[in-house]
Amino acid sequence: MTPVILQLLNGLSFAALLFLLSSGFTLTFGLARVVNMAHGAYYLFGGYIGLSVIGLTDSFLLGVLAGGIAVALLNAVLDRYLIQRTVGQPLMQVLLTIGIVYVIAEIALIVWGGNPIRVPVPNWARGPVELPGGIFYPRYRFLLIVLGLLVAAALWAFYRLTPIGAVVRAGVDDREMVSAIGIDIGLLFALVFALAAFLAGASGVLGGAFLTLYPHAEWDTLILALVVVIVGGLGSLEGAMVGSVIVGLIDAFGRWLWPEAAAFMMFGPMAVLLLIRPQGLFGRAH
Amino acid sequence: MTGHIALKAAAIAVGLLAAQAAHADAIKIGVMLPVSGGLAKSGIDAKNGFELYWNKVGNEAGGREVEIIVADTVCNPDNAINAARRLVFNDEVDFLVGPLCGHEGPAVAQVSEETGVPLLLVPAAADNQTKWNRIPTVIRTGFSSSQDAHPFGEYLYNELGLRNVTFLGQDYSYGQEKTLGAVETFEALGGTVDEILWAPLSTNDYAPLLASIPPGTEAVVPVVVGVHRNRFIETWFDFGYDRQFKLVGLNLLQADALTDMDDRVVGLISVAQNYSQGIDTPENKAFMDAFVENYSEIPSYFAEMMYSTAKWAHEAINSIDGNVEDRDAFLQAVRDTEIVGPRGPLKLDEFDNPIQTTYISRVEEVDHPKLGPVLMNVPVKAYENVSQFWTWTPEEFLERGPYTK
Repeated sequence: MTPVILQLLNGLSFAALLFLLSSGFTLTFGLARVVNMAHGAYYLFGGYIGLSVIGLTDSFLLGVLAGGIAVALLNAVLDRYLIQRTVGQPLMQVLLTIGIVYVIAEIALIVWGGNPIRVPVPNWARGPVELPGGIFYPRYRFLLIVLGLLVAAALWAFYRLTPIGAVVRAGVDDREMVSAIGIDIGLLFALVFALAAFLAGASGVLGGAFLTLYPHAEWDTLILALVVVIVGGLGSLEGAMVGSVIVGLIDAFGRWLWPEAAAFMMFGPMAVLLLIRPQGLFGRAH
Repeated sequence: MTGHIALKAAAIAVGLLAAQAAHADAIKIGVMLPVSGGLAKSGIDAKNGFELYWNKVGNEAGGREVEIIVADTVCNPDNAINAARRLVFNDEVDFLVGPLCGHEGPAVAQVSEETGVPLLLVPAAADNQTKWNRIPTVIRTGFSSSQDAHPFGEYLYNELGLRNVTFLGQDYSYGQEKTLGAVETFEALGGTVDEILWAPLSTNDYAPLLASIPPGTEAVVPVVVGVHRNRFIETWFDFGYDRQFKLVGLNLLQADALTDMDDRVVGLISVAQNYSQGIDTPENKAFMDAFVENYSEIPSYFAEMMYSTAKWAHEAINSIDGNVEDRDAFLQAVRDTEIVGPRGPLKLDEFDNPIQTTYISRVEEVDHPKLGPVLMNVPVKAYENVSQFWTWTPEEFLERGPYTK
């Protein structure tokens, strides 16, 4: 029984990171219809900024915040001067944001070098935690699961229970109507986009502590986010939650029971799902 | 009449000068490495090693100036082919050196085969290029994937006294060749392989895979590359596997991975390779000092292999008085040349792969006079004159076929 519980925890801790990464991705798409391929590069850039800040201040929490804020600022500039020019032209947008990935990745390579670097885990998050039933699990990963749950709950409450959340949901369904009743949809987009970028940057610091930061992480991460969002349904917060858990668990159990087929285990179910339900589990057909 | 003679004399003089100039032209060496992209760190390290040697000897060989032209391969076979063609057709290099990534090797070798321009294949390690798929204009000055794995299998059995081990191999050609090479010799002595866990290159998280280690096994032997080394180590200690199993690295912690490690890895057997930074010879000491002096870091095995390749080419060119335009003579000269590099004595076997020393290394914290305390690989056991065929005859080995799972 213990190995099954361990794999369950492994799956959930990976899912927590996937959720932090992809929730912003899916919201920007749903609301602003922006397919931001630079999301993975945001993750990497945020991770590196966090790493440097932790090096300077010795504070993991400051590092996570700094990673998130730096990426939110970067995103504000990129959005204002570049991405906005491609609104309504998805192909141009994809090409533009892919171009941004290359630029960010090359800058990261110059500044932080090409060796893989691990974000240091603070002392308070090291060591094992004892769970009921005498199961020991790394404390850092356990805290990641807790954080994932908290952020998911907060986002869900914001999205479903607050007036701003209601406007965001309305914006996802019918942008023109929301603008027509006098709501500044541009400001709303900017806010959601900033939140998405913040989460991507912060998850870079959190993920860098157990997946390591390295050149090419920008693409590996983008693919993970895409899989979660495609499984869950583009634009759906609930979809990102369920998609993360499904992908995280498939990954953990797949690698445990049938490691050679791990890549298939990740993409196979996605392909089947796309055949049956192209809009994803929670997505709406437009 | 006299005017005619003067004219003729002038013509002859011009002709002579031109001929002399042609021979005095610089020797051009085309170097193909990933100096940008994900493997840029390794690529630049390799480039530094190559240039360090040529700078030391004043960029001169066989009485001619040596010019090095570096082309970026970005660790991608398509780019590598383009880089090789550009060096051959545009820059008209006399011979090629590189590439770094395993899958770029066949791509670049193909250009050498098409054009006849010699290739010194280094550090790309694919076994078959000096075994089943040889090309006459290609000579390897690096190593073959399984070469250092054969003695390591015996090291596990004879020196560490291990009988039941689990291998964890990266699931692609290099990982399979290196893992199965050690499995072969370990089992031949009577060792039992409890399990071989194959880790796809897409593995982000090693926790699920490590949960499959069979409980009764004595030691885990990983062959992991790139960022996977850091992820593996992190998970290993996080989940407390260090308290359950012995960890013996066949391909685990080369110098470039040690920069991000802490003292938990001190004392681990880290890697079986043709180089170890702690080799105690005057050649290696001089190399290490010069490298640290110039680049303020410890050289990787890529840097050493490129440094030795430069020395190898230099001595070969000297032996034919700089006449690299005669490609057959140059290739023969490389085959006839034996050198002592930082990593020890080097000579080619009949299949154009170096016979060299395999070092089993352990991680130690060394107080470096310039860099302060650093983690470094130090050899604990050296197997000398290791051929790519180990103790088998080439015929036996070739008959058996490549190592694939």
